[in-house]
Amino acid sequence: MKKLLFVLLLALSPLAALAQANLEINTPAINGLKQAMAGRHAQLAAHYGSGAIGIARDGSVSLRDANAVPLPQRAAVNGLLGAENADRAALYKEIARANGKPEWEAEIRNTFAQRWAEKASPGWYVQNAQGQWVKK
Amino acid sequence: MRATSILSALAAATLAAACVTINIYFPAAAAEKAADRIIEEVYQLRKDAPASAPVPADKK
Amino acid sequence: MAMQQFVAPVTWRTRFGQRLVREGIAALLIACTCGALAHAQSLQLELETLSGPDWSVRKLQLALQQGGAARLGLQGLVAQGRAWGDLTLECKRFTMDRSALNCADGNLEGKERWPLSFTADLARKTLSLRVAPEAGEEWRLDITGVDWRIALQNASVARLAPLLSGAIKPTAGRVSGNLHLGAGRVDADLRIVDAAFADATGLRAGEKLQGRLTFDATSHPRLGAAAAPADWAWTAALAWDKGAVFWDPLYLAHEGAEAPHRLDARGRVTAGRVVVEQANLEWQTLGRLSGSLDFGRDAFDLGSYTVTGKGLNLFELRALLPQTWLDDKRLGDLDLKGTADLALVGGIRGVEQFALALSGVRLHAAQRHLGIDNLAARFDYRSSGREPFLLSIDALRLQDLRIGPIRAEGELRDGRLYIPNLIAPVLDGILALAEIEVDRESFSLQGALTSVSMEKLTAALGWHPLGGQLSFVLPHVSYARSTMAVDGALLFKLFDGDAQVDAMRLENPFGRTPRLTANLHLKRMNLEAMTSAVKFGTMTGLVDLDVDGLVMENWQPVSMDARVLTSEGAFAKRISQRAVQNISSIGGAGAGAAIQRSFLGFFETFGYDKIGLSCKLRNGICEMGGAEDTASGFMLIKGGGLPSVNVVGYNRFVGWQELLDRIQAVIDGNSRPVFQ
Repeated sequence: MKKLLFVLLLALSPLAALAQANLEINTPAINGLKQAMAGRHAQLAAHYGSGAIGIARDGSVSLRDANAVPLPQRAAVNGLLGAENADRAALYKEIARANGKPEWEAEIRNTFAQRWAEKASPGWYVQNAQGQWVKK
Repeated sequence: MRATSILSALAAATLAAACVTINIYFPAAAAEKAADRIIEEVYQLRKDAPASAPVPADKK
Repeated sequence: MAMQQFVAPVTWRTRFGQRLVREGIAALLIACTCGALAHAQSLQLELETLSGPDWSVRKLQLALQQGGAARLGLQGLVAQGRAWGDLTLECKRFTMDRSALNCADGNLEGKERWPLSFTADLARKTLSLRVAPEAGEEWRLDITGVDWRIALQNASVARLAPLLSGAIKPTAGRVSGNLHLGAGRVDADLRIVDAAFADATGLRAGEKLQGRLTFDATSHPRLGAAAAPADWAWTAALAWDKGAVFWDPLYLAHEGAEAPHRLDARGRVTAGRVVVEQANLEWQTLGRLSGSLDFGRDAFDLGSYTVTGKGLNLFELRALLPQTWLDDKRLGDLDLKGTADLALVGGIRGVEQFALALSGVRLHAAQRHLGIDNLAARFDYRSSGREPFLLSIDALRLQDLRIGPIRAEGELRDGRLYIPNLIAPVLDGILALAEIEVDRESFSLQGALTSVSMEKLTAALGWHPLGGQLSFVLPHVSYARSTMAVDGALLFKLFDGDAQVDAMRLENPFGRTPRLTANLHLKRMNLEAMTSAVKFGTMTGLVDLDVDGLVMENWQPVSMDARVLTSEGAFAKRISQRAVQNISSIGGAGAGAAIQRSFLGFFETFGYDKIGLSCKLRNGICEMGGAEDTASGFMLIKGGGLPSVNVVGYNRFVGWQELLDRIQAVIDGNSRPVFQ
């Protein structure tokens, strides 16, 4: 059985090499989403810092504790999260589509989920694999 | 008895092969690199990121 | 001096606490107090591990001294599923006669220490309790039989938080007023100051709330049903003076400067349901809303409901929308005015009727360059049946383009809106739409635009000026599942040519990632009209433009097979030197300089046989082609007549962005003189 696996691996290795080339992320749709998200980030950053929102394990941003946000701004934070998560969902879908592999969407989302957490600034809350919030 | 063991071995092999194929197909390293490029621009971690420049100007 | 000391070391260790219920203790207490203490001067009692159906105590200690101090200690009290820790009730002066207990100068000590006093008469079933946790704060309870009266003065509602089991807890606030619970009657008049509440997520919270609640309910035993619970009739009034509430997604605030928002309601409680027969909400500056509803007392399941409002001020609705949310939608400067009348009727099956009448509505979003002037509409949705629909708008504004006035009549039929005809003047033309059908998730229509001056249109939209006329025929257009599709060909006239758009689909037109697919064919466009508008250099003649397999994301092309080529047939074909240079620059041929250096620089215009440029766009790279292929390149201009000039390009692959930059450079370059 090991031999069978080995043969399979060998047969697929050129494919693997091919697949390890860069992913296409320079399309108008992806650039548009990226820009919208970068523009929104300054507003979200303050809420990451206060712990009101955190980086969820599913590649989205989620509300952790709105009590950290002054009352008049809470609806706005919710609105920002809605817009950000809609853009993120569209981003994962568009990357999969730009590379001709719509079926990759879930794995792209997973990859992003890890990288959003990895690149988060110290002090931000990140959701671990068990779903608990951990301060970075 | 023997037939079932062969069958299950085959099934296991197919399963294993299927898993391997999926893992190879998804370019994890490339996806990670692509994600990092986008995330750095969104988080504005790169000093040369084009998105970081117009944002403060926009806010005024 | 021989003070009779009778210390009763009653140390009763009970291990069968489960059987010892409240009544047992009460009996024991009374037995001790009335029996033993009538003779004894003091008593000590210690019980271990007492428990009842929903409470338990690890240790109970009681020490009484006639005419002196009394102390009751409870250790490890657990009641109603909650651990209360240790509680001590102490009275500095404690007296007792036949049936009355009197505690003066007492304290209840748990996590905090609260001064209190009480008198109780077991025979007359009265209790009078006064607790003053802080200076200026007082909780009074007076019980006479089944009549309970609670009087509060600056009572801190946060103290109640541990007692409440709901998700929403009071976190601050002072209440003053009276609450009376009697036989068949409940009434209250409470003033609330600086109150706050929140749930754990912070999605339902209030702050700095100030107001007054009055409540009155009386019970009416149901005739002939003695065992059934009584019906209650109630009235309530709430005045909200000040404060803010966030109840996701609504944020309601009252600055306190104006008159209070008022809610008056009356209704019944019957057979487990709370019925609000009539409620009036007077919301300052918004207007007055009335309604009714009923819901289950335990599960809060909504039954039927109605809401009506007249002359509601829409400006106030704008204030209810959070500013940052509007900013994100680029509607931060949204200006909304007008009035609305509405009527809503619903039940467990959802909305049954929704009538809305709008008048004098003005909506302007300067940042988006969108506006609506003076809209009036009557809309009456019913889940079944037919109702008329009316709409009139003085003008729709898009940039500087005004569309209107618009008048439309139609009807709502089984939840779908039908408008047979809608006419709207656009500049010097008319937009006519027909067979409009709209429901919650989809719409469809047909239409046509009679010829509109492109010059006026492009100027109004702030686009590059273009000449000629625009007119179009829209075949069946439909929108469903976030995709807009045009069945059949969209026909229009542009630069005297006939244009046709086939297979047009627009996914996500209202989202962040709109995606357009289409084929575009423009036949016999007048080059002179086209080029004079963009100052490209003069060209005469006719061209065809074909774009197949166009895919645009975010309004930028990502793939297509595009080609511009001189049309078939005989017509005058001249091209100016400047246009030759510009075409050369776009083709990357660098011919412009060559012309200037050669004798051709003396000529103003040239003859040509064919002009052509094609771009096969894939993955951001454009594969270029011309009117004809040559051995090593592609011919952008094939000369003909006298004098004639050929322009040949050699570099077939160019980045799409670079091509756009070249075109931009040509347009920018035209602002300065090219040759002397």
